[in-house]
Amino acid sequence: MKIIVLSLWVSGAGTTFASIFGIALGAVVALTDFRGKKVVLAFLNTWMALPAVVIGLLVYLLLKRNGPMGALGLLYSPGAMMMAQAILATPILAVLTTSALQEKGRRIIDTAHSLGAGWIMTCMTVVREARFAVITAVLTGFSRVIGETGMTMMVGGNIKGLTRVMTTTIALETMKGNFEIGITLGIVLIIVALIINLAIQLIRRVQP
Amino acid sequence: MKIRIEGVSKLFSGKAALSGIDLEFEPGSFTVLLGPNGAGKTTLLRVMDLILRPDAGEVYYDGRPARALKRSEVIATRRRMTFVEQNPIVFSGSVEWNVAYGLRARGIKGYMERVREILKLVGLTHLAKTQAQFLSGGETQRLAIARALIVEPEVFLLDEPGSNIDAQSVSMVSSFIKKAISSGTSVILVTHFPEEYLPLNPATVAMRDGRIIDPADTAP
Repeated sequence: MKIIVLSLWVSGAGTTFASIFGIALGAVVALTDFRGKKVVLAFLNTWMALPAVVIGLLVYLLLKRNGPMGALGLLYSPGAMMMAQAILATPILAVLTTSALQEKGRRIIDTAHSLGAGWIMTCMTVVREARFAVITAVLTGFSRVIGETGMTMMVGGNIKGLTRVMTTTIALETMKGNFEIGITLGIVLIIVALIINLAIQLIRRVQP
Repeated sequence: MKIRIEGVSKLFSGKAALSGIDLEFEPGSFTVLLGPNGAGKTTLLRVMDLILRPDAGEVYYDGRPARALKRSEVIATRRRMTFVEQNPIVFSGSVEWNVAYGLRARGIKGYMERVREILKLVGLTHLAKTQAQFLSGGETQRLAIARALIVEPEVFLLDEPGSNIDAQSVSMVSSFIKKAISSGTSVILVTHFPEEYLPLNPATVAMRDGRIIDPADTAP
């Protein structure tokens, strides 16, 4: 049970951090015109396509004892796992937010302005109009990170009782021949994935 | 509100959408803006509504240049105008919620009576609780006009309000425009069918390729 709770906590926190940066970044890219916008979009798409183990390696190099952020002592802790998962999910959220806002976002802003909305009301209107797409982006990001194994193991260390989550437990127990635990946790992961997909389907149905 | 446009130019990807436009709109005046597609009519309305900033020239609102307006003054100036686009978008929410948007933006409370009145006027009372996204093209256009009229603007900017809608909606839109003019609102209307408004004796401005031309030159 502790493993399940830790998995949900780490991936939930990682997705929350990714949401803060990813949604803001996506909104800026979609709603503003600036020089180098295409470069930023290309960078985000490349970042999204990066294999998770490469992100795991980068985070490991950052957090190792003599690395640039080694003094934080985060390596092999849930914090390191959250950080890696946040880095993995950020471009997904940014790209999905950009595509959600790019088509209608500018028109929403212009219409709100034209009707006399101030800055705060305009922002609230954009958020309100894009809420289904943004929630879908968050759920997609969460489903991506909760299923991650290699990266999580690299920076978390798969320490029993501290950083062992569902995916790393499945990998370990399968290698040990303990298929029962692996299958049980696999079923839990499938249920989580199913709930997320049902939520996305529900949101798409609710959205006019 | 008096609007004066002096030497306004606007470029899109290096192409001039507006070139040296000089115009003046007196309070309570009615102007019909004519011209083929791509003439710059919509761009001009968007510049006047402070949605687009011109690359050159200046727009004056009661003598104050747009560039000199502070952010709060830009909002305050926008609140004296409303702009109905050719294909308006509606926000997710009920029809009455959409109609009241401009009133909420102005901090006006207790507006439901006004909303009901305007919905009755545009014939959308029976759709008050309907999600606005489910309206037809004609109903959406009427909703857009209702949410623009409810704030009682001094300047009413309309971009081809009769396009893509049914005949009943067209005549309703026309009657709203006439009502707005008679109540002293300045109306600047982009249309391909100016004949309908001739009894109201509008000033006519013709455009082509981002420039003002002689209205006689727009005749087919």
